[in-house]
Amino acid sequence: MHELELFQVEKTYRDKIAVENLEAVFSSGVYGLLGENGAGKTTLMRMVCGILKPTRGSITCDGISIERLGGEYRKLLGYLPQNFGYYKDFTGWRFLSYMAALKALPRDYARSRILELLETVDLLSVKDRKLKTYSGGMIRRIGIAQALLNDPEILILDEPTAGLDPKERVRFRNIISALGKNRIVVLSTHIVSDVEYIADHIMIMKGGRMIWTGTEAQSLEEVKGCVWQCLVDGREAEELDRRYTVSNLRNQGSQVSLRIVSMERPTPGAKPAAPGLEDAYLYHTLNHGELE
Amino acid sequence: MGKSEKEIKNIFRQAGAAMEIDKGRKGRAVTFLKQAAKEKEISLVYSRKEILKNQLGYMDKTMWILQVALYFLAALLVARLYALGTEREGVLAVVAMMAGAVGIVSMMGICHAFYSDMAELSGSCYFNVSQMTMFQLVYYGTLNLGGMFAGIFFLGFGWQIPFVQISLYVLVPFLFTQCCALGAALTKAGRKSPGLACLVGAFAAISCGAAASFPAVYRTSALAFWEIAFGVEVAAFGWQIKRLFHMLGEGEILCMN
Repeated sequence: MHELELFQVEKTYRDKIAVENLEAVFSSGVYGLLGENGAGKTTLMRMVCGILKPTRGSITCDGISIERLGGEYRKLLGYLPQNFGYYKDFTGWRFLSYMAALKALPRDYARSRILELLETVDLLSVKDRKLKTYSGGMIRRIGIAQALLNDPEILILDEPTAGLDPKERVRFRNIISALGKNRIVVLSTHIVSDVEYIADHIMIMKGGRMIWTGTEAQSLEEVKGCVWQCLVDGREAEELDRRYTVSNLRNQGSQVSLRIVSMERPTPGAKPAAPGLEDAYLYHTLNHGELE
Repeated sequence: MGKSEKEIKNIFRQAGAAMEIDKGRKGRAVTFLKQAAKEKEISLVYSRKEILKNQLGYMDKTMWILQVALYFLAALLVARLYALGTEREGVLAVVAMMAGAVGIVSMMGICHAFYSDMAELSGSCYFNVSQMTMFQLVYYGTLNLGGMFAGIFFLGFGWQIPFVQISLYVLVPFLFTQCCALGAALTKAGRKSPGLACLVGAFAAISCGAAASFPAVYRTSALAFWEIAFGVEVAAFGWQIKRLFHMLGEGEILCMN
């Protein structure tokens, strides 16, 4: 088991700070990294994988800089990028074989591993078809398969469920849950439900900064008493939507059911509701926890 | 009532101390675990040679094939020009453009390592993009040196041109095109559109061909110009390669967004 430590990590481009003064420690378990688009999740993932060099700060694995470890660190890694590129004319089999070669896996081992993974992600029947004929969900699945080829001890998944249907999402969650026991899995997403079921630890990023870390239970505890459910007419719903943070809005005939995240009761008829992770995410990200 | 964690740990410790461990069984368990671990052990291929051998089997070799095809075409063309008794200036103009074309294809092949759709993914692998780029540089460098010198030998022999002079007449347009193409590829616009490097390279190759068709450039007095141009191009190319590896180290060049 390994320990990844990020110390005062920063990534600055000419016109923007993508990641700012970030500190985190990853040991075994599944880490859900939540954040809106542009929060810096992908940049962080790329730095952890050694693809992007931080402008400042250090990333160490078991106390040694990942830059210094070089190939030895990359041997431990499995990475699925958000924009997963591939050679369109490669078949599924050839692509995984190529990735196995890049990961320096012996041929015999690679062959058996590829067969095993193709079965896991349910792509064995289409392994000889070209990738350009695959659907979006199939591409994502083969991406997950390549990330697992070298049985990585550090698995970095950037928006892994993008394009997957609900059934595939559930299958993916089951795979990841099983993997998280003895390795570091960092899973970044802006879909809260992806993380809700499988993450041992949750991290929330906003504007390049880590604004909150903890377990799901801790996040729900912090937002207790700040989630309200109310049933109002259309005009009042619009007014409340303007003034408060609404985590869910549903039309029910002539009335509107609102779920509001607020430190004060938004309307006299509002009833307290049990908070969910999405409410907690909104609580922490919008106004950085400072709500009206 | 409820015991503290420390108390519970103590109870377990005491109970454990009272248990007698069957040494024989322990030994069998250790042997079994070692055997199981050995079966699951992955012996990674550490040798660079074996990694490359594996990769050669699977990587896209279109540019390599194109490069070799260009050399064949160049050889056929020069042989034909020799058979037709073409004059020196005409042949050298054609050779300058062919050298330029070879330079463009070399650059496209090298850039493919980090401009392909798989660059970001490859950057996280054991054998990463910097190593692949170095491998491509060595491959194309070896092929080009071999091909160029074979051509230089034939041209020098066929048209009675001194070896040093003909080397300059071939290598200067080759390096000029490579420098232009690589320079374009490393700009922001070039990263967004790899076709730009091709276009710039093609323009450079045609310019070389046009310049090479003037008899004045082959005078003995112009040799110093060729030598200076060669020196400057070698220095410029070296600087660009250094810059390329610096950019690969930084990583932005690998990321599509």
